Amino acid sequence: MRSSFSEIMTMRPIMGVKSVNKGDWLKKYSNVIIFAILFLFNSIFTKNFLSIDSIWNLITQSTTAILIAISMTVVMFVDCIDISVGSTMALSAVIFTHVLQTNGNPLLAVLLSALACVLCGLFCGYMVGRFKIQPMIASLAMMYIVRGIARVLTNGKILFITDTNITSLSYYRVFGVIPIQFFILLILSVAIYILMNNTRFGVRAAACGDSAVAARAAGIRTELVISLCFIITALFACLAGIIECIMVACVNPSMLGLNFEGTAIAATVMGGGVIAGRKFNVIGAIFGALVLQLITIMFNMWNIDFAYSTVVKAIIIIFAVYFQNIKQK
Amino acid sequence: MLRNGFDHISMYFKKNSALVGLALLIIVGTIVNPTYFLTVNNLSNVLRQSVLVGLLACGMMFVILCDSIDLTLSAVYAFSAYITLRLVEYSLFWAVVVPLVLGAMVGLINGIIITKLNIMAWVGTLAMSMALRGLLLVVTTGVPYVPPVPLPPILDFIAKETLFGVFPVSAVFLVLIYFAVAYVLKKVRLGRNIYAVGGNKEAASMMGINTASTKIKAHMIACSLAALSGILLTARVGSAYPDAGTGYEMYAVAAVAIGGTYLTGGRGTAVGTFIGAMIMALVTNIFNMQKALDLSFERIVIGLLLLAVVLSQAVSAKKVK
Repeated sequence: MRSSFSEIMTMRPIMGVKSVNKGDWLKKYSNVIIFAILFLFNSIFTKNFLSIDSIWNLITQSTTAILIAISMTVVMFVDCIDISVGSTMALSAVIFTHVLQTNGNPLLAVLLSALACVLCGLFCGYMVGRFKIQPMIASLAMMYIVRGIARVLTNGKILFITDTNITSLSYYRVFGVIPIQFFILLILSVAIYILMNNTRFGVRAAACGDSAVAARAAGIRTELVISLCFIITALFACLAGIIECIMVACVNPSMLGLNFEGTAIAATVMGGGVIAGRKFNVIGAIFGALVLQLITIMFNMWNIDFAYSTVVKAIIIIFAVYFQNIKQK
Repeated sequence: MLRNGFDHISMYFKKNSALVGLALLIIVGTIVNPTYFLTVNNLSNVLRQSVLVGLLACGMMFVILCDSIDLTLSAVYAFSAYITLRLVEYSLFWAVVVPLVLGAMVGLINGIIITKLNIMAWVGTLAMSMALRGLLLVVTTGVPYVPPVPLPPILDFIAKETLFGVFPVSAVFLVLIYFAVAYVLKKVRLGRNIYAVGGNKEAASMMGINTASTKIKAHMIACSLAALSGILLTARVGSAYPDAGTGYEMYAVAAVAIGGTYLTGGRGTAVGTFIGAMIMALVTNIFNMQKALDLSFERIVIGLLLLAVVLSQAVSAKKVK
């Protein structure tokens, strides 16, 4: 019982304690600051960058990344990680497209793909919550299983969405200006923020994240809470998959969402999702995803090879995490 | 304790579950394809295919034993394959030495990121693998690199030839490396330290073990082995492409877990990992030979296998407590 004892001893008092440190503010919003600096830099030095369209473009292009980043903060709240999100996206997109082709009812398609994703999340969450399998390993296995299922369902073929009513949805702009994705993101991030910060479920999840053993001793059904967090993540991945496949009007089961978990983890980690005393930081995650997308756009607009942007992103991740570590001490 | 014969048998099975799995797989393979599976030709093919997973799993075992993980291994493999091919037209010596040194350096950086900068292992190495793949895309400009001169016969010999028509030369290398690794883990101070650090970090540092340097060394060994796999196998394809080996970390982790190494660190053997790698190669081989299931099922099966093994580890760990 060594581990459980030391876990209780080192438990941080996070519930009900507001941040007292002034450095916390800087830490929490470091991504916003990086984003602001990058944005300013681009507005001045990059040609044609500063137009209202490019800002909306930035948001529409990074919608899926932001969604996954938000969902990743939820599992990180219970001190877990889910790297199967990319595969879950592929599965949901495949089911959505398939039902759309055969049945034609978009609502049914959304429901069925959501159901499949809930099952994936439940399975992974139960493995982690009940059997204490490391989340990294459980979701690594799930990543391959779910991707395999997506490929088996389509026989490895690429599916197309032919219904133009649906594909035009991703270009729909509310009031003719604001892309619909913006509202989806706004509503969902506010909802998740409230869920994790202002509800009983959020408090319980925080307790589980801090020490599952202590939470269990306090009468919290940890496996239930952890499973629910994984289900929420899977549902977000489901939505991201559907949005992605509507945007490109086709699904390639082997490619859709591939390596997405890397981007999402990078965004979340940069947002201080893991290292900050409080593990939940939606704003940080959102701006983390935006920063990564901005770097990609910047490299594109400057006509530099896309490959360099991966290197730059990697360096940024390592330094972001390192500096948050320093501030932590 | 052990009351009757059945308990003895079940105890034996539990201890050698990987070996039992291997035997079961051979039976399954024989049933699936009775005419071809047990031929010398096929089995030597299996051995040859097991080299990549085997070497990556060997490296992965080092880092997992000291409670860390390294997601850069497949990127290091691809990178070292490229460098070997790139340098082979100038000098064979440098074509072998440079990738190994670079691999060790990547391991050093990984280790420093994890131990000195206090960044979680999977975050740091994920970022490093992104960086390496990016660099590889930059230097190859995204197209497979083919060396302008024919490969030196020694590389061809290692990658393609077999000893006595049975044992592929690269597999002989693999077995020799596993012998060396088993010796290091059992008899050398570094190996003992790795077990101690993975088993209980605080206790290890109280005993006077430098946990940071042990972890760094484990990462250096892992990345050097990955680089070695690039050198050994590059001649088989004859070209280096930037996506080579993507996703092979999962195969390596699966092989390590199936071989009975606890993914929480501190417990596991080289022999087990070797058997795990063989199991992975056999699964691939059997999948390639049958016609009933689509190839996409292979990853499902391996994922389920990994889950099952980890689940059984978790359950048995609970019983020990």
